[in-house]
Amino acid sequence: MILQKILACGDDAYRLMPSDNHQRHAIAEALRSKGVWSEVVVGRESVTVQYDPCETSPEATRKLILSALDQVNLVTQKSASSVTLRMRIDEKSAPELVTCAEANGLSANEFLDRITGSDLMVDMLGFAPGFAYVSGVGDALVGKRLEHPRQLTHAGSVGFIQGFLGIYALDGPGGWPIIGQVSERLFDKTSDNPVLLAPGTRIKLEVSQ
Amino acid sequence: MSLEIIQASPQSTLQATPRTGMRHVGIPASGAADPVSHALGARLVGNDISCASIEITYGPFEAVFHCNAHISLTGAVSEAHINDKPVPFHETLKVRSGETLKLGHPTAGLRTYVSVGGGLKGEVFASSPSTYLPAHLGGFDGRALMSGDVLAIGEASFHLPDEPLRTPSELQLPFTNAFALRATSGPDFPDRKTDFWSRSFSATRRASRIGIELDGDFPTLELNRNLPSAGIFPGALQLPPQGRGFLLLPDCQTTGGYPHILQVNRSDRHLMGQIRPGDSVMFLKRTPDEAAADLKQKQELLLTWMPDFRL
Repeated sequence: MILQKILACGDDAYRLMPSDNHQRHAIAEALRSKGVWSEVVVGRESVTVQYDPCETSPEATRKLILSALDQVNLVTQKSASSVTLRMRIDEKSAPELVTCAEANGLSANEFLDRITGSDLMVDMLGFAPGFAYVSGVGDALVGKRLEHPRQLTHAGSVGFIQGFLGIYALDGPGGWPIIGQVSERLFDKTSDNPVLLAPGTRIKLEVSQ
Repeated sequence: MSLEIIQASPQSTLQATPRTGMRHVGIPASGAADPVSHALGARLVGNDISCASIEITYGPFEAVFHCNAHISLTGAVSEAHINDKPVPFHETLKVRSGETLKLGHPTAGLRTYVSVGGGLKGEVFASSPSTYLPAHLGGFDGRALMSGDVLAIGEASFHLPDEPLRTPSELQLPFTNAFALRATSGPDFPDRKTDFWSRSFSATRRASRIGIELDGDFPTLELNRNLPSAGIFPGALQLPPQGRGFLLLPDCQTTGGYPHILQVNRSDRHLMGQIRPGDSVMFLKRTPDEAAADLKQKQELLLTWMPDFRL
């Protein structure tokens, strides 16, 4: 069974809980490729599908989702795209790098080696347009949110809390300690695909000195 | 072809259709908080609903036209004047170059829409000119309108009949200070027996295009309060740990981790944009099948006048 459960999320959405959490992105991609659902949103442990009840009834939609998932062979899904990001770590770009490293009894370089050596993947987006939660950082590294969130975190900033990196696509308020800033443009408001990072995108982080 | 804002407090923005299909990359819907009123306004001036109108929150509002134009007023009804002459809502109005449109405070409902034939030009982001204030996207420079702003008006493509159009009376929704919204249980609605559905709640002053806080007797939840973040949509009623409900509007985030106790149904979500601080709100329980029937019924009524509009 691909899904552990499927539950109604109000009158026009279903939340799918995969049996294997790693399959969320493949499930979302398979559903999105059908082009019939209004939204297909990956969460931490779920994929939520919004539909138009005027087009298909709740029961018909449930069956459509299940049959769409029956047709996909999740094992043979080709791996998602991969993006290399170059991260600056000067004091201005990485205000909390040293404190984060020290909290783990590491030097900044040792700490960064652990991060860049991890198998990083965009787990989901949310919080703000293009804001990416990146998984793959081992739980051994500890870190928590800033006690006083910043009014302004710059676009490209890379935050760290235990288990995750958070990458800011836009300038805005933010509560993650910042350990670097990437040079790539993550958000282009003039493009039809304004956001560079999508759920499932693999990330290679390179430190630029 | 333009109009100039003289007064637009406390908040007026350009709004049109929502952004769709981009929630997985964190891009919220935005668009008119009351999309039915926006669409009715567009209909009266021959605009497509993808053309921006001015969404005025509470007022007062004043603008001077630098060209002749057809305009309409829909949504929350307030006193309205063109050059000191009272004008009605829900019909096509003619404004001449140099004339001033003035709106007061609505007595009930919160948002008024000014539509202008040809549409107001906004910055198009992700296929929509709707303003998303938190990230300064779309609309007029991504921000709320201010005194002195000059808004460009598009070329009207539609030839209006000589007689002014009027919204059919059955589609002119009167707003009061009490809202009954049809809703369906959310994934985190408490299992045990509750009289939740017979209670009424009160909108607090914490109200924006992101959401409305509701005060009242909410159930205490036994579940873990830090739920794994999941996709969430406008219409969700979340219950954060402090115990007040938060009803999500079009600018809400795309994912959330607070318990999701109910979902205002698609049929009635347009009404959420008219709830003002102090208003009372009740939720009427529907199953998903009943909700689909309600939606079809309202959709068919709206289609008779607006063939391209979808709730």
